[in-house]
Amino acid sequence: MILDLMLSDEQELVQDSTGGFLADRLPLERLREEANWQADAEILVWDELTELGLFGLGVEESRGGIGMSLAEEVIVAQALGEQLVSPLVLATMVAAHLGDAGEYAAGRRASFATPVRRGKYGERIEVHLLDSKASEDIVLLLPDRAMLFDRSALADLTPVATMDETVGFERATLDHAAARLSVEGSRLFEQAELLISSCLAGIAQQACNMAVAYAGMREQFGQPIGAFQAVKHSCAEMARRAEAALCQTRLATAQSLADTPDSSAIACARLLAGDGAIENAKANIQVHGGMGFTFEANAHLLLKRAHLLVSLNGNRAQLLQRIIGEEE
Amino acid sequence: MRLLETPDDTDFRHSAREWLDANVPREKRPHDGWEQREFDLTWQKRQYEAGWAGISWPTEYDGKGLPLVRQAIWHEEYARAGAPQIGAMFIGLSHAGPTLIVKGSEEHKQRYLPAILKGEEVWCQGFSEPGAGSDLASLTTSGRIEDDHLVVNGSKIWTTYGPVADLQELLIRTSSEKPRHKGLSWVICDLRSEGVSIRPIKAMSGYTHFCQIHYDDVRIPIENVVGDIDGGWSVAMATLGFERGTGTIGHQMELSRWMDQLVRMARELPGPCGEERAIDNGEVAGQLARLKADVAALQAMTSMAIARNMRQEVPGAEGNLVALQFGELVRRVHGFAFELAGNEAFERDGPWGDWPYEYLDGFKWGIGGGTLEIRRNTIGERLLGLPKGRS
Repeated sequence: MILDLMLSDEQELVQDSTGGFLADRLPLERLREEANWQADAEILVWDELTELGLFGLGVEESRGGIGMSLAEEVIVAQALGEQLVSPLVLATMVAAHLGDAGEYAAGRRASFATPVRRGKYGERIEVHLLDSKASEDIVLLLPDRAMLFDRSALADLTPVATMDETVGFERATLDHAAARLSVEGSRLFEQAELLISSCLAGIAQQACNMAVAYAGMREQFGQPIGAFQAVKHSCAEMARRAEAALCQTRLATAQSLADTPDSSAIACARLLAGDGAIENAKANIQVHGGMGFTFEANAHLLLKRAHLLVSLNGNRAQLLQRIIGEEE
Repeated sequence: MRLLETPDDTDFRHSAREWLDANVPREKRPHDGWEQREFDLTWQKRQYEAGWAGISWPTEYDGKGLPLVRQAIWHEEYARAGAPQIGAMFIGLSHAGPTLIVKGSEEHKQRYLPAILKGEEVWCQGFSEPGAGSDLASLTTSGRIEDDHLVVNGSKIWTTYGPVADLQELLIRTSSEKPRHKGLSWVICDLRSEGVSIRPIKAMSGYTHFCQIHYDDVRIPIENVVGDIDGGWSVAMATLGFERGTGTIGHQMELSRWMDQLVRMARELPGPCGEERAIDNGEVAGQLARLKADVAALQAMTSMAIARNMRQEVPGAEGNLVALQFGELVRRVHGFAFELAGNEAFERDGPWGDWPYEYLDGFKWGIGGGTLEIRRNTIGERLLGLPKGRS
């Protein structure tokens, strides 16, 4: 099957408008100020995000959506990743496919719940909630089931401090029986996998951009450090990993759009994007040297968020099994 | 981000599949020499006669004039059918031909393109020299203008299929006064000319498909220059762009067939620690999955390169990303057979195929057409805009 992995004119418009808005209103640099953490900055511009049409973008018009497709959502997700926008936005985009798209388009918010531990899950699951303090709904995505909960229905809510302090975390217990909505099947899980992959591909790209900008400016031994092959080649590998993540995510998306979704290809996208984001974030810290190790520079933000998104809704070992078609 | 294939394209795909299934040679492709050349030319001829050669080449030169999508479909079906690698046709079809289409004169195109498609002539490359490898612009093989001829002296090396080639894309220095990138010319050299001598070189795989070529006052008609005299660097970069972009698409698709075979082996062979199946071993499964993801990425990156090529005449530096992914991966995929099948995989032409040959021969993809190190430089400087340095 021959797929065009470049963007159409309309898709480029979506990329430019969303990318431009986020770079202007929610630039990554905002996270240097604690006041903007834990989705506070996003909540301030929530009206504008709904006006952009992010919530329900790929939902049919008859169901209260904008009537575009998964492709446009994947494009948006990449831009969200590049600016480390709160997972609250992505979760609300996913919820619009599960619940009433019209409500989310009118300002209702949803957050992700993700299992705290690995292994087999029963009917009661201990979860982490991500940036959920201003959400009405909680989305839980399992490989064979997508569920929507009222936030008020959750038990044992306890705030916890975690590695990525820019995202608000709470522990809670979820009971399947408390779900407001539960949909069987893997369709929504796999769509979300592509959106998360795209977010991670955005982080991989951002890490590359950041490293290249710094390497072109920082001088040692009388020349920009990017002129040294050890640094230049590290940047080239970052570009390769970002490209691999982007291309595989788009390919798996285009397959899904052509009604031939391929679980293995989706798992490949998730693996490549996750590895690409983490490896590039590490390399970016290394290129920044002492600055990269500080809390003041932006490099650490990418690494922390990459780890958080990699373990959202699953883990690497499961992905490896899905790729070779050996999952249980 | 969309499906490009129309229902008409899919009809084309089905016809291609049907023809390939009935016509792909089932006998083993010889590993080197004149038998290999004969095998490759015969197979090319058969494709030409049935109307499957030069799918996206212009019709004026015996091509089919179809969009790049059809060419890509053909490559997919070609790989699926297990058709042999294009081998000796590689430079003609993926390198010299595309270069002539965009940079050649009308006479060049008429004279050379149909002969490539018909499987009448084998081309080889002539860029690298003993003293000019990665630093290509330092090459010294010279062309002195004498009336309406260039008189060529010097030597080229690592010329794949050189021992069996008829024609060569030769990059030579035609001016020693100008800056080094600006004194080069890209010329077509007939290897049957007087003064050409060929010394075959055995590769680490144990087979001989490359060589060193010496030129001793070889006379080449001036009209064989492609592009301008002293304007050869830009022609050469176009040539390499084809190689780095989608030129190796056939080999990449072949790699995914080897990958599929590894997964099959992992299901059929016993595990290294006594598991019933190798794939039940966590380490094996994990490594296999990582390889499979990287092979998938290679194909996706190639799809992106194809999409880019549809929007530009000459491929840009992005092709180096694909080549970087490919160059490392080939070794990892073929080397994994030894871990999976144990000593049995060391057997030449063993029950699972000739893994030693594929493994050893695969090292060329990290060296030829630009080493991985040069590709990283090119990505850094041309794609990312990092400064050149003293390194």
